[in-house]
Amino acid sequence: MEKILNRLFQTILILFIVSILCFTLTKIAPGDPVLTYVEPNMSEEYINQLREDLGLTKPIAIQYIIWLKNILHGNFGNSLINNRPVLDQILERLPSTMLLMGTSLLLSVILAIPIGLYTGKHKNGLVDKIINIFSYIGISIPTFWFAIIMIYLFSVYLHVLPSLGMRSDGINTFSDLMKHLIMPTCVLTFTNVSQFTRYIRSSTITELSSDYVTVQRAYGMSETGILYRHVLKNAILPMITVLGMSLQGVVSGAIITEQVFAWPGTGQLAVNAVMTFDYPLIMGITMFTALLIVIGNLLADILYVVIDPRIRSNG
Amino acid sequence: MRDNIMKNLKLGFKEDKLAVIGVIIILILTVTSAFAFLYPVDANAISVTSRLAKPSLIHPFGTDDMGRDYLARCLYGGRASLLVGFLSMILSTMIGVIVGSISGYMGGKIDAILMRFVDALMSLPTFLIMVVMNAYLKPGIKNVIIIIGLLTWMSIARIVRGETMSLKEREYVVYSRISGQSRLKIILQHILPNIMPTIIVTATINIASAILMESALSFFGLGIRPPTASWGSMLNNAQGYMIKAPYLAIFPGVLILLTVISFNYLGEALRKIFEHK
Repeated sequence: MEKILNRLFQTILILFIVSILCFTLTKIAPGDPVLTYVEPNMSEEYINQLREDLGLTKPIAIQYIIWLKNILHGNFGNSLINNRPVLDQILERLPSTMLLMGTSLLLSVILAIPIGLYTGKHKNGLVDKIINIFSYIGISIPTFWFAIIMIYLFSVYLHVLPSLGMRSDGINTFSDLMKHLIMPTCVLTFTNVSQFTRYIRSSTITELSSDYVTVQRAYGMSETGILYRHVLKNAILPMITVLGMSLQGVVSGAIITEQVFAWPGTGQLAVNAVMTFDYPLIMGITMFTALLIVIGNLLADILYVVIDPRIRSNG
Repeated sequence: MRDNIMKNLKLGFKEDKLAVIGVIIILILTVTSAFAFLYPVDANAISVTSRLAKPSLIHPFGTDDMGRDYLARCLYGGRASLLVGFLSMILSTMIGVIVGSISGYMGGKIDAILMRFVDALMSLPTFLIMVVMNAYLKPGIKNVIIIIGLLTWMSIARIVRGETMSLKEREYVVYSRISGQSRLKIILQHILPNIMPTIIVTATINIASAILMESALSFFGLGIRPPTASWGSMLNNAQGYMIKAPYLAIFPGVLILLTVISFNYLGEALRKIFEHK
């Protein structure tokens, strides 16, 4: 329990540092933020008044506190481009991103567990070697390149899958959505599954060479029995931490994938915001994503403590 | 000890043929892009008559939409990508080693603060921050190196910190401390040489990820921009000619994949070799 409280305290500290980093990033942005509100016929006096109203003349520390207070109240500011609340825009796009990332993560875990267990059990066998090559390709292939090759192959050349977006115009069916989901999911999954497989493979190898397995063998327990009843559980357990740790990479991958496939998620929103220099939106998305990653990591740690009795008793 | 490492390296590479191939690929790509000027074709020579020519004897990789020789473009592109990979690796390794060794050796409050800072940076959507910083700063190789270097040192710092913490309790380090050697001297003389293998492994893998990041940034029209060629920006351009000239997208992509996979594999091979000692 103390461990969890300690971890909670750490999380708050991390979020505090993240918020300072985000705020600094807005402040070092080139250009005077007041200029976005200025119209040609405004007087110098009026502009100065505007600057004061926007809180830009206050000391930087006060500005930060006001900004933080607003964020804690769920007010991420308004977009400079369309003046809509940033949070509304993020929440509107979030389900698409969650659909893509969720499907991909789920698929990656489902695929990685059996592959990792098998290759760990049959270390250096033919299958292991082939999978090893594929997983090296998976962690080394540029996401965007894999995406454009897929588009060329399946959309341009074979005409079997739609290349862009989440739905076809005017069609609102489940199968249409699934068709659009296939390629982005495959691209994102390939990288994830390669990473996860490597982790599960190596923890399977470690578990298989541990003392308790030797004891089980000595008692005459079958190899499959050992694998399913003991190794499986202990080899998958670290996956919780790996999942938490990989969130940052998955988010980066999702941003790239969404951009190439024009998937209408938060990643695409973010890149568009950067291209149009929409600072409140950029910072809102950065802060929001960091929040999700930190919470994801925290949940992973807590879950690990709850599931693994060894750590619980030590804490 | 050094002789021992060399012997292990030789043995390890003898066993792992793929690692040797990786080293050869890296060497070939580095040498060809470093000496790209020896290739007798101008990478910037525009020719209206030979636009989008298919790969042939005269143009082994074909020509791009402006009739420029694609092999020459790829060689110069490799120069930019490898330069970014190496230099941002050096930057991130330096920051990571400094932060990690200070954090691990000093412990206590300094350690706690530095590590929370590392945690915070590791929670940020890195790619998004890169895109943002890229949009702020002037595009160009120098800024790409700085941005990637500044955002990828955290994993090295964590690893160096962990190893430093365990080394600092060793007898010879404790002895040097008692005999009054300065902290800096202890870190430089007794701790860093012993974690060199780990640093080398992480740095090798970092080159791979730096090259991936640069190519993604340049692909989005940020990072390295035309007329300077980089594999990523070439792919950005190639997107518009997927139907007419798919090879424009194949060559730079395969080159990135080959380079990154070689560094990743080499990193893992080195890890195995160092662990066996």
